[in-house]
Amino acid sequence: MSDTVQWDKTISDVNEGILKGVEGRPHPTYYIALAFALTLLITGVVSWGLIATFGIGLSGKSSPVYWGTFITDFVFWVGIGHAGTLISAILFLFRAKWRNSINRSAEAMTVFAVITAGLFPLIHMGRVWNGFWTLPLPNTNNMWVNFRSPLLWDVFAISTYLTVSLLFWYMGLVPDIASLRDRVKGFKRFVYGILSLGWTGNIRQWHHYETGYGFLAALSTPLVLSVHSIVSWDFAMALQPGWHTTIFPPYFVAGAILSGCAMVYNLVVPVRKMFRLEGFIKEEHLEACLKLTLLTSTIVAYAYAIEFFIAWYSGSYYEWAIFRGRATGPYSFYFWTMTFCNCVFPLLLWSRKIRYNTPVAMVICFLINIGMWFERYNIVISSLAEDFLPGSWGHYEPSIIDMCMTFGSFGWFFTWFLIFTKFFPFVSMSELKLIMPKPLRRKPTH
Amino acid sequence: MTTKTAGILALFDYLDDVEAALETIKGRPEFKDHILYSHTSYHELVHHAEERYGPSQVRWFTLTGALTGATTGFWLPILCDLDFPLIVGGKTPAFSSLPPNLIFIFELFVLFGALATILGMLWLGRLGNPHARILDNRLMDDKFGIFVPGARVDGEEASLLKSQGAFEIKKTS
Amino acid sequence: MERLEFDELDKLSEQKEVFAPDAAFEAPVKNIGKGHLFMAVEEVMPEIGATDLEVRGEIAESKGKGYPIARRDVMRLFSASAILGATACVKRPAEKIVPYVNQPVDFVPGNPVYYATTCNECPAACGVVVKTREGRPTKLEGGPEHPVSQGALCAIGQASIQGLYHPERHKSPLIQTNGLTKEFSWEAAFDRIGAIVKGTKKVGIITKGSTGSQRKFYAEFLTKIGSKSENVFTWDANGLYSSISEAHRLAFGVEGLPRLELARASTIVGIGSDILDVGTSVVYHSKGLSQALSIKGIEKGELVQFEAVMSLTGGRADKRHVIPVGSELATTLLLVRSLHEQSTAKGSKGAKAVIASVLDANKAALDQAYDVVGVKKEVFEALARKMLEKPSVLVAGGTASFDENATSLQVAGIFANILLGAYGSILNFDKGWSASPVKAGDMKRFMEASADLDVVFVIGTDPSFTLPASYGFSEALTKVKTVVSIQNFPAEVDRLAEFILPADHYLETWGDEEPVSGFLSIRQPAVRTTVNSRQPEEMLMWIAASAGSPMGYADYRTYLSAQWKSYYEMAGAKVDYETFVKAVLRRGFIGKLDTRTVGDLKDVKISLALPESGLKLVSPFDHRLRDGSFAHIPILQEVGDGMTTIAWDSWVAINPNTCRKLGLKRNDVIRVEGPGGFFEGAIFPLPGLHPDAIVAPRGNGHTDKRSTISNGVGFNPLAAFAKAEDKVTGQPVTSGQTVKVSLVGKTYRLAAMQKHHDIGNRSDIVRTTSLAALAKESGDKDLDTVPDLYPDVLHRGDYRWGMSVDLSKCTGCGACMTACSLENNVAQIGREQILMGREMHWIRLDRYFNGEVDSPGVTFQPMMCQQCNHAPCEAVCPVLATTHDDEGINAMTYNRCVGTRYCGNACPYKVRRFNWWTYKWNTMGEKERDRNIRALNPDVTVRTRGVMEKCNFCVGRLRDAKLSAKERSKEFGREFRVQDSDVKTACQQTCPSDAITFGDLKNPGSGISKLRRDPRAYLVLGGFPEEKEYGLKTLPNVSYLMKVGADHESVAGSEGTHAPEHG
Repeated sequence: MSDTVQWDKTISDVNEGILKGVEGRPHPTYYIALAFALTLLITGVVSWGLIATFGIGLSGKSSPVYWGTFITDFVFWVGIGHAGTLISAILFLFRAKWRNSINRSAEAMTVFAVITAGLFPLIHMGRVWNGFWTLPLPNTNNMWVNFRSPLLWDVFAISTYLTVSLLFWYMGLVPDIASLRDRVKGFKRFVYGILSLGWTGNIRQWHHYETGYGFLAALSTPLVLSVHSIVSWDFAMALQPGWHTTIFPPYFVAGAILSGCAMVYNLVVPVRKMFRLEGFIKEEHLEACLKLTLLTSTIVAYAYAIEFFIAWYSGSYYEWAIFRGRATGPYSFYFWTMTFCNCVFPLLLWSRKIRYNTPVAMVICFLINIGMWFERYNIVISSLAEDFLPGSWGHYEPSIIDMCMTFGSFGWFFTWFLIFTKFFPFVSMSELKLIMPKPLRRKPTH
Repeated sequence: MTTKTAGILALFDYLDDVEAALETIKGRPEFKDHILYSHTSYHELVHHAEERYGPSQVRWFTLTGALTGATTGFWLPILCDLDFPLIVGGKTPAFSSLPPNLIFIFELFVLFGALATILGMLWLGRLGNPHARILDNRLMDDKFGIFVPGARVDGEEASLLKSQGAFEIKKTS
Repeated sequence: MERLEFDELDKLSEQKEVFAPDAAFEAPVKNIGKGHLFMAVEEVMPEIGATDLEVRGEIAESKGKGYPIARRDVMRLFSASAILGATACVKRPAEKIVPYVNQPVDFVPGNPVYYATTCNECPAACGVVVKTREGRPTKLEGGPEHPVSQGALCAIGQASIQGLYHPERHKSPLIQTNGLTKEFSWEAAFDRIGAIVKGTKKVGIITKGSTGSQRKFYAEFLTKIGSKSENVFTWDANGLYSSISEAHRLAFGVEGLPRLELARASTIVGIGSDILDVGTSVVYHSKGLSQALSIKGIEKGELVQFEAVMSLTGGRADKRHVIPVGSELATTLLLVRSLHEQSTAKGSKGAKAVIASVLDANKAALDQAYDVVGVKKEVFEALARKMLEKPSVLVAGGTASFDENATSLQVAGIFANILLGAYGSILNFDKGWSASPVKAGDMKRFMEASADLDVVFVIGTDPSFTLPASYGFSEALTKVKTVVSIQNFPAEVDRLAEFILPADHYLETWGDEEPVSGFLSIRQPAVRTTVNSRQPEEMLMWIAASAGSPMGYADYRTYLSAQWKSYYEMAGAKVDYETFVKAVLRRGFIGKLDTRTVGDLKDVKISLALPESGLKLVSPFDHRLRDGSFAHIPILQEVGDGMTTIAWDSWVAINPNTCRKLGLKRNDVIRVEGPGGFFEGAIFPLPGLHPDAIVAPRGNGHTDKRSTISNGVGFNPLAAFAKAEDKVTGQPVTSGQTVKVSLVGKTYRLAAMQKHHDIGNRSDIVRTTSLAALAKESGDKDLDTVPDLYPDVLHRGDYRWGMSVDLSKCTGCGACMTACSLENNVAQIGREQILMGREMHWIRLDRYFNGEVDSPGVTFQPMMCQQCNHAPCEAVCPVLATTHDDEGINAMTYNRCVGTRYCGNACPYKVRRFNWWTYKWNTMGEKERDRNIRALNPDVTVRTRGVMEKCNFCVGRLRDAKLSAKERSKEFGREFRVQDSDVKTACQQTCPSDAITFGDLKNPGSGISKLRRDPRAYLVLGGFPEEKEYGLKTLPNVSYLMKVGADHESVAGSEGTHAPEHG
């Protein structure tokens, strides 16, 4: 695929081209974006302050809808993370060349997304200062934790996932930081020098690096599949109709990758403009990302369909009632938005023209992200609101605080991401060089 | 890896030149402990390293870490439950509920494995070493380099490397 | 209109299982039809219900008020960072604890002390046992030996403790002079009033109804100060007392209410009666009715109800006929006619002659009456025949039928009961009858006498709220020079009073009641006065003294003990009087039933006028707030109305078909325009109402600053009534006046605790059966053997606690919810939070309708934590905050809970409650949510914000019982186990219908073990074990008993189709 890429740059341009963004000033839109992200972040921080001070009652939740947008956001952000690991680990093992130009950004996205996701269970509890009780720490009451609770599985899965993807990401950064170090002077050189861990680029370092990187990729590959499966068990393990299904793990993973790829596209395209990286992140690479989006979107569509079929086929009244309720009940709006955003609009990506039409593709990916958020909203809320005993039914609408927290999480994520793009190479230069034409004397490249 | 930096550094532009150079200097005593520098991990060069230093030992770190993790993941829940047995869902935990332990086995397998791998890379690659000397700023940009410790700029090592296509020979101290 | 007939239901039940070999795949789709149960008309008549869009909008609207954050707080917080917020903690109120200087003799701190006294909230005079801890009452329970309460207590009696501790009680005597209110010392107040009284001899007293010595004392006071002794005017908004008593005076020449022994009856016919809502003695009658209707072998009593409104009594009825508003008299006479035609009719010749003459006099009207009433002649005849076969009784009249004919209705009722021969067996009028707490026509007399009264004492009653404005009471009172209002809680009449004297709550006073003639029930203080209040009678003594004519008693107690002498003689006790009184105080009551001879039926006339059609306004008592005297008690507001589940509001209930006809929707605000005025309220389409009935309950609508709890809640429907009176008793009419309704164009969200959409066919929730089916049943049920993969490790303890709820006994009165909340310190949260669905009740009442919208059957399902043996909530808690104990209780560890709320999601019964805020408990009045720290049960911890809570089978009571059993074992040196009688949960203890049974399942002889083996026993969401289908397999320790229909016909037709096991 990326063999067909027409490179107008040589490896000699790589460091120059990519690092001048880090050294010089990015496009003004960067600062606008950063300011916007910070405003959102402040909203989120204030609403968290309110929740922690007054109580979780500030959110629209009630009995029986004990979980609301916070869990929705949690699942959403964990999902976002997945595409990053997929691209950096699985595609690395598959030696898919196109991932080299965007894997750095994808991994960064993973790390920040998982950090964001990790906050939400704490916000959700309300009394955040008790969060550490979910760890198996020795204490005077001999109270351990319940190792059969899917939430505890989450604790382990998410923390492992965060650690591993953080290390993975940082190891990838080290050689590039070294290149950066060699270009800058003074204090910057000192800082980057420390961050580069004294990387000199001698062949033994490369040797171990290659092996270790391979192992990390191998270890993270099952993570991609496991983390979101475990998250899906938060639902699938409860008796709740609409949750209690075996299809959840694969269905959640597919959804995660769908939203992740869409998000990668949404992130890379603007940053590519801001830091003038068109020469290195090629149209073909983005298009490959869109293909992956299209694939996962079809998988998700299939999952929706089969979910409904099973609900009907099972003959379980409660199950079927929930699904009818989703499509026709008070939450039908969310349901149909989800369906159109995740299953219908992505179909446009079958056309090569649209895949190469960046604005349209941007819109589609944006819609997919909205759709995926709604999917989680649907699963969490509509199953809870009307389950077994009609006497206990309720209704949930996100409160202002709920929405502020959600937007705040985006602020938090984008702030980190933009800061990263400013201070670190947005494209993995050492890996980019590998997919560019090799510098050979015998076969001149141009 | 040696830390003495007195010697010469030959800089190359082209990958095939470096390969050729490596072929020619292979086995020569005066090049015994030359060091190759590259700005990225071209497989040709990594292959040479493989021949020269043998396979990387990182894998042993990974294996040990992963196995430790798996064991911990198996025993942690059981021991905690035995320490304070409570009736949950009509059953007592510990041995009567093994399936969930798989999750902890797996997660800690991955976690410890990854951590150990990183440690291996740092240790074996002598990373985090404050005394690492950068012989030339272009090495991590787009140049290749072969460092020959103890050699002199006007020595025959230099001329040999030059003949192999090194566009510059610089003295390092 | 979409409806389901019973035969259709049978068809539904014939459907095959999904995986039956010959079943097609559409099988599951088929049973997505409407089930036999529905929860609100929205399901069967969607256009009546608020659309989802509206719901959304309304929820958004309610959000605004949803949070207890003032705008300023928010602004302040915007400057606070999340870290600050996260570390900010909750401020706890500090209370000083002062140890005893001299430890009282035989008083152990931590051990409760119990006092027997008598409830004073309504004239029924139930016996109460007050549990006090360190000298303050913490919980009220019905006196187990007291014949009126028989251990039970209604919601109001339970809640009266919140009235005692209510922070908004007057703190000291107040004097209002031209709009200015000043606090005064008691002495100053007494001197002033004394002077005024001395000046004029024209003094009157308006007092609440009482059967005790109170009235006599007031009369004595009036004579002492030289006023007319008949200037004591008793007033009770519940006109049943006066109308029944008056009817009997007309019929037999002697006053009084017959004591109703429902337990002896086998067929009970209620005509507009509300013995289970308000009646004359709700606990006593609930007990009796529940015994009468309980299943004896294959026999079962039957309650047939004719009514225009949807009362709890009607909901409990086995057969319910809807009749037009104001046609109770006609209906009764029709039944009397059919009874009279029967040869087996009892009653003396003379009586029959009188009845015959009345029937002939109204022949013309009666012949049309069948069409007006809408019940066929055959129905009456069949009913008459059935009633004459077995001991039967007719109970006529209720708070929904206070019209001009209220007394005539009672007379007609007397006719029927004479023909049934109910007098002497079921109706006791000659032996142990009840004196009427109020004198008929007193209020009428006051209105006439008020002109020449200078001083009026209003004691413990609030006529200016409980009388229709059109009645003109307030105007009359303003003409009186000096009004002294003596109330234990601010009342609306205070506005018109010059002197406001805070009276003791009944838990602080001395007193007595005579609920049944010859039977004395003592009232004694259980606590020192909690505010600066005094006993009303003693105030009068002071006033008399300062008026220069002292009454000559040291205090009211001495007066009372003088009154009780007669009982001493009657009892013929060997001990001296003091010891006797002590013994009586310990027991709480004494006496043996008086007897008298009652003559035959006198010649009474009834003139029947048939009601004309058209929308009629009916204002019955709200069964929790009654006439509004209890609107200031948070728990009663919070419990919610049984039938509508609306809390913290008044509503206008209209028949759904009428709504459809008039184009009205749920929550639409309408203006109800009556002859006397108008009011506005939101609509609740309530099935089972007569199409012409506009039902707006009384109780709310307090407008002055009476209490932050009741102020501004709901509306007062009496505003619409023009002045009209019962022809005999002069009781103001609060039912049957013609009104116009018009849309206002606003919507107002009624805080109904049950939200609804399609219920469809959930058939293993409420299961019903019939006597016929039961007769076929043989052998014991075993609910606990369910195929399971792992071995269970349950019930390793000495006990296994279990509970059983009888669906055919529950009346939905809400006493259990009240008792539970008070026992377990459950917060009251207020309207906004309830609108968001955050009610905290550990036990809730799910109400299901079945059958047609116009005359539905009603089933109440008390739903509390089911204490599942395979609890879904336990497995999902990450921190082991909820686990199982060895005795089968699903226990919460509050201080371990981190608030993930996963358990709440996992619970299929949704009985877990989450503290969304720290519900304050330092003051009660400040916000609806707040609680009064002194009113808390010290044995139960108070939960703070972020903690999940739920029913725990009153584990504190269990521990007490086990400890005392242990002590007994020590004492007697042999093993004592906790028996059924040793421990009762709060809900079980107070249930007036004995619907709840609790006990030890490890003891095969215990009541609960028997009921768990009962053929009617089933587990909610437990599938259909008899068909090897086990539902969710949560294996609750709470089992339910199927609802049973009378005369071999299942309540809900059939059980509908079976929902196969989920998941």
